[in-house]
Amino acid sequence: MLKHLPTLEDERTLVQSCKKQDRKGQHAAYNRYAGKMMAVCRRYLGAGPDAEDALMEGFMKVFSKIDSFKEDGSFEGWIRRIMVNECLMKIRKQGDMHSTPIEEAWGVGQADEAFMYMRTAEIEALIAELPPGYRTIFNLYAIEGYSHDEIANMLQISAGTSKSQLSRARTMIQHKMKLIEL
Amino acid sequence: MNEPNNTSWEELDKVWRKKIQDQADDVPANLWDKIETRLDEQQVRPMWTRVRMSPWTWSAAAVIAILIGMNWDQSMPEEKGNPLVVESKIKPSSSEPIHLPADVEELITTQVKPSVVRESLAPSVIEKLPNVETQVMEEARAPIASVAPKEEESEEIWVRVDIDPVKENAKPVSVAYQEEPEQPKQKKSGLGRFLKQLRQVVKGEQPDWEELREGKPSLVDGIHQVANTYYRTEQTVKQTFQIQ
Repeated sequence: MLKHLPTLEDERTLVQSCKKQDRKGQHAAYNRYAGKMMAVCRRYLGAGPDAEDALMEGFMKVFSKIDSFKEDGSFEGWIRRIMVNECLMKIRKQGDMHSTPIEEAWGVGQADEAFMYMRTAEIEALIAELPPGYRTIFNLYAIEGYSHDEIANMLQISAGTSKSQLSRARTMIQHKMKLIEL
Repeated sequence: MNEPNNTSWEELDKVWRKKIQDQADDVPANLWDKIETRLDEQQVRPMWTRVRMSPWTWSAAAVIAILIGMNWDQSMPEEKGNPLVVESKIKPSSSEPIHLPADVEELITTQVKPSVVRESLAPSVIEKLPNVETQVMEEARAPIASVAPKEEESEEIWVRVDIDPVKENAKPVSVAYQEEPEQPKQKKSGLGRFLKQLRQVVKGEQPDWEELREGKPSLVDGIHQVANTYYRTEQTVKQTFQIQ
């Protein structure tokens, strides 16, 4: 089936095709970004059916809101933001955001140099073991690159709470690494 | 309060971000089918269910619909202006109308008991109608039946039909009234009348452009312009053929 799909290499062509609600174009966009977005959803929601649901809902929004995409930015970045928002909505619905509103950030010291050489699968496993609240903020800050103010806005918490959750997440990662080394 | 040492963590974040952001996982095979099904459902759904309009937009749409409706109503032919039936007259068959004495008329239209008739009638009336007692008694039983049916039988209704502005039919046409007149047919639309005139032209008959103005006075100027243009074109074509 993929053989019959048009080779839409150019992202702009892909976007234009999606804006025309062309099914082949939509399929091409899905094929191009579904794998990456699946990884995003699993990082936030774990490897359960929730991640698949979020991916599906996310793509539905991508195709229905495509007209609001301004083509001056990256299409992949836009899709990723939609997926992240979809995951955050699911986390909120599940009530998994047990973020303790602690304004004081913890001092976690320097990162272990061994972290730099970890493989991707190991990093993902470490992140997946974090509690949902820590994991969400760690993902948003460390992986997606959002600032604490942006995270505070997205999660309706204070920037200080975001910082403290991040510090706790890092401390937990360090602790797990030490256990692995032992 | 201990400030977190984020320097090395920020470097680590960059390294991890680079590694993780390009990571792709396997996607369930049937996920696209589910998305496609939902996309199809969205397309099948009627447009009006997806249209989100403000109350003002809905109001504007309603006003436009009403205006269109009013315009439609005005463009329909008016009954009083119907040129097919201009005049109708009811004439009795005999040239002389039935004249009854006033007293007799009074008797006819009044329920009269036979015993009272003799007392109530004046002597002059009895002289005029010697057999009036019997007659009045019969008439008292059916006061109008003796006169009115005769009138109905002899009644003729004259209907003059003027079809304006077609001149051939301009003379009043008399037809005996038999039953309820049929409701006049609905006028043709403007396009229909225009096509009719065109058909006349094709047949070689003189078109009657005035007919097009019926019901649409505002079209008069336009029709004249079209007619003049057509006439000029026709003349030019005729001249051209004559020259050739």
